[in-house]
Amino acid sequence: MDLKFEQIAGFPKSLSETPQHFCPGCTHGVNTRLLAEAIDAMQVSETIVGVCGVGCSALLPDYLDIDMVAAPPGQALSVASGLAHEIGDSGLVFAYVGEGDLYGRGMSTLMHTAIRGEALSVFCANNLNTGMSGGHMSPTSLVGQKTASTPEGKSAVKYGIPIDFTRLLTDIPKTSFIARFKGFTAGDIKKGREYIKRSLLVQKYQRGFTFVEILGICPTNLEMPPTKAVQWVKASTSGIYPSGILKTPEMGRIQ
Amino acid sequence: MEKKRLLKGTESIGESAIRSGCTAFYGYPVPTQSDLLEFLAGRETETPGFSVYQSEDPQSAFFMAYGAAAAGGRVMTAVNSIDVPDCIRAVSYFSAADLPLVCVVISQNGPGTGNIYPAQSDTLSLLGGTRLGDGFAPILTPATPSDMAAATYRAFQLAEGHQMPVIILVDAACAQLVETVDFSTVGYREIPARRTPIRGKRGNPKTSLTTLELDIEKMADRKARLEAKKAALLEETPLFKMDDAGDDDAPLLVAFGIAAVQARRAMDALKGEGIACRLFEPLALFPFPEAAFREALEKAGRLFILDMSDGQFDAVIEKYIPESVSVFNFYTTGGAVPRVEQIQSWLQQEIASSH
Amino acid sequence: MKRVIIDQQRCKGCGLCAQVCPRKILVLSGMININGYHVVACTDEELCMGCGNCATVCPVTAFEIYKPVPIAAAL
Ligand code: SF4
Ligand code: SF4
Ligand code: SF4
Repeated sequence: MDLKFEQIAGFPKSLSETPQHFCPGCTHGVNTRLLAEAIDAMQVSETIVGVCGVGCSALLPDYLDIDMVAAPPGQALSVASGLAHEIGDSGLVFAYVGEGDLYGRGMSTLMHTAIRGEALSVFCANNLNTGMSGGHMSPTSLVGQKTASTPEGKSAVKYGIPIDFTRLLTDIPKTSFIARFKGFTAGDIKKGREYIKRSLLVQKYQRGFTFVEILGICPTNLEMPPTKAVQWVKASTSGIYPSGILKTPEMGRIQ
Repeated sequence: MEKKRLLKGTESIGESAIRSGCTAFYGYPVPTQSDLLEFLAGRETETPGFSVYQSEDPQSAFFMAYGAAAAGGRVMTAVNSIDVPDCIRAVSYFSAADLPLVCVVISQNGPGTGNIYPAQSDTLSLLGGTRLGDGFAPILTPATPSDMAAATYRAFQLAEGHQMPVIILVDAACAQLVETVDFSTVGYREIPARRTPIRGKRGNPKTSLTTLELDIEKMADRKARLEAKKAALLEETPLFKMDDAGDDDAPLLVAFGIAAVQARRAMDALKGEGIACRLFEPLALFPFPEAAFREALEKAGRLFILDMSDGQFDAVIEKYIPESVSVFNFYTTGGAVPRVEQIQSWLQQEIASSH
Repeated sequence: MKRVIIDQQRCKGCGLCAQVCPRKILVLSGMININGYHVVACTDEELCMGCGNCATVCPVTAFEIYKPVPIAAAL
């Protein structure tokens, strides 16, 4: 029987050839590729503007072949809102921000941007610590998790128990599509690719505030080989940061 | 559009911003500057292409403005003294990114929460603070609503012309001054946009706007670019007003903002008594109209400095004052505007005793 | 026709692809690339089932995967 070869994976057009400076095994690399794939699939590379937050996310402008603006700490969604106001429906605006930046300094801005229902796709890279700063405790660090600023493990007495910020957003009337996936298991990443596309799609046609949290690994600061970090994050976040769609414009809150 | 309108200081700034082609105002309501937000919100519906957004805090106002400016908007924000630190941080970012911004700062009384009475105690924090990371911003200091209209147009011209942030510093007393403003004297003309907006590649190579720069040489290039801009700014027409008594060696008064308004009134009163003075009013603290000030000082043996802080204005101008000139100071702090009679008797006394 | 193409310049030797390959044909080889990373290699392309797992989890987008499909089926 004759065979033909169908390409099932390759290098997305909107991903820049520049070598990436993320650490080996870091899921920022996966996220970057997923964004590029979604941008290509939606054919929006000419009209989309990305905003990146601080820390390791701030490297994104070098790796995506699209217009990008870098924001100061905590202010990525303000910058994205301003861009969206000016660009209107002639383009799309997304923000890619780490959880330390978005849920810490940027928490008030995150809430108010969502409440206003700015037409944005927000992607939060949640890797349970402040990566580039040197692996300190972040708002999503787990109880007991050892970080640079909690060497004995994050204390619930001192810092409380982390909450599911993504879920919190589902209560806001003007948020439309909200989902979360693990950026380190093959099955979840395949779903996540669809979530990212859907979030851009909803923004394009329904102009709502969409939000996707991508659970990731920071092997460098977890001080584990990437293969082990994947297992550790998967096991220790299970039940705390579950994957799936949490809200859609059609059905409202699901989970 | 009507040519003349009876307006408060803040309103005159707002009206002039619209006439200068401002596309968006990002504001957060705090006393002494919220009337600008209120005035512009009232003008939004009737002004196509102009929007007003109230943010959750002053910092977000600056950075929404940052995004809008990056996408080609002509933006304005406003804060009062308490939020000067946010303004300073924004100036650093707008400077680094070569983005235009007009920021209005209304000066009130501190330290701490202080009160909403006028003061001129933000002079040094703004002049020094805007140099954060070697950024900078021109600081215009109009005193009357008419001057504010002109200064606002000038601020947008500078912001667009040099792609930089510009501050309009007004004390809380001048912000409330009411005057009939004749906008036809401002001479508005379309201010050309000078940069390619970031709105997606749209057929062009990609643009990355970031203030992060890990490469030391490229950082040096950025600083050199800012230095060149500063040099170009210093070439601009100096901004000041000189009230001349026709008598070159008459004592010279120097003041800005509400202090200048009151000084002028006191001078008029003194004229009736046969005492002639001259007033030098800088309409910008940066770039300071240095040459004109030095020239005015040449013949004056005596300099009278009027200021509503504990001497911050002195610190700005002392480097221009030759040793041979005797300096007299009049400070009011606590929020009280110097009264005309106070200034009058101070001048009378000092002029008489220093003869 | 090659089925598993790995850009060994980009590879950082994290081993994530090897962990998810159902056919266990991806191994960290003894080869070291210009950046000093032990790079991954495919031991037997013929065994590749074209599941794409490796490409999906690879943080550096090092993979191109081609899956053979019978032409008759396409008709
Ligand atoms: S520090 Fe952590 S988040 Fe940053 S690139 Fe390295 S692994 Fe990724
Ligand atoms: S496509 Fe699947 S079977 Fe083929 S190498 Fe990759 S993981 Fe292994
Ligand atoms: S996942 Fe990618 S970077 Fe990691 S070992 Fe495999 S090919 Fe190399």
